[in-house]
Amino acid sequence: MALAAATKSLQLIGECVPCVKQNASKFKIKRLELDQHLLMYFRKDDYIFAHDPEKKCKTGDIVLIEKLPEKLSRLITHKVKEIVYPLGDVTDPFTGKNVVAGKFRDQIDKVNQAYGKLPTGFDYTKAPKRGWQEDKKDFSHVETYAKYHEDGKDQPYSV
Amino acid sequence: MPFMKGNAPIRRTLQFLEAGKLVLKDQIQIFAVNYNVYGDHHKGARDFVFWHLPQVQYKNPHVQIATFKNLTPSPFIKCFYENGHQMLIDVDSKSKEEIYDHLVDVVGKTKEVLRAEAIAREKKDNPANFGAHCDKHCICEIPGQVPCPGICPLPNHMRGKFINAKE
Repeated sequence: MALAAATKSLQLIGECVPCVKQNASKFKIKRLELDQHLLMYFRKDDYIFAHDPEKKCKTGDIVLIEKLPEKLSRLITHKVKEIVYPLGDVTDPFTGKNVVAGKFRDQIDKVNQAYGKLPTGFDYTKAPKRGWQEDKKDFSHVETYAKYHEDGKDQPYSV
Repeated sequence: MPFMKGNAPIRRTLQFLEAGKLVLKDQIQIFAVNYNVYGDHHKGARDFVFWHLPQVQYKNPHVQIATFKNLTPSPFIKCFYENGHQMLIDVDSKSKEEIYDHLVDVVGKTKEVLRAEAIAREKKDNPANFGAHCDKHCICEIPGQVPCPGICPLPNHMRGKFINAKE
């Protein structure tokens, strides 16, 4: 493993935020910065663009990113290594079961069955993969803005 | 403690921060703690984050420390190593002291390593030391000393090959 140790990969963990760039996703890295006078750690956010050609990461996913040996472009400095906790689809690392906040999904299903499952209730097994309503009703993958100028061109992401 | 407002302001004293025992190994780049804000079995993790997280970040300024709340039903700590390995530490129903001691044993540098590092740092601080791990590699770099014989040769009366050469 000597060669692996020689290639120092600076890893960071961050949350995916909306990004309009193609082939890249923007990540928010939460760091703690010490205030010298109060001696207290405050949160400081850094934004990093990581290379993601297939756009695997959706807004809200917690992702592990790795620094590239050479920058791909002026802004794209990292690449996506692995999605640690996808939004809404977190797996408990000890049991391997799917989780929703503090409960296991099979536990919730059992409770629902005992009380009577609603037909309109969300079914994890039958629900389509995340992103099927993108550009139709789901605009969380881009930064939307209030339309400030009407120039005749199509502005799909203006509110 | 003047100007010490807030909940448990002793956490904000330099003495408390310097007294941190956990110095993470060099290989670790990310230290992530997952816990819930409710639940008795998460209390130890919550207390650990409240009391000891500033100490850990103070002793390891280059490690990214992240906290994730209310993701999974059981609390855990995940350490991400340089070579891609991940270490998962279960902290379910443990007290903050137990978690801290366990972390020092598993992912912290040992006391011997810390002692050796302290000595190495002292050696580096002393400007009278030369060589590896010091500021200057050789005394020839200092203005006023004999220049490096590799760059400008010494006068013949100082060179062994001339002193010892038989006429």
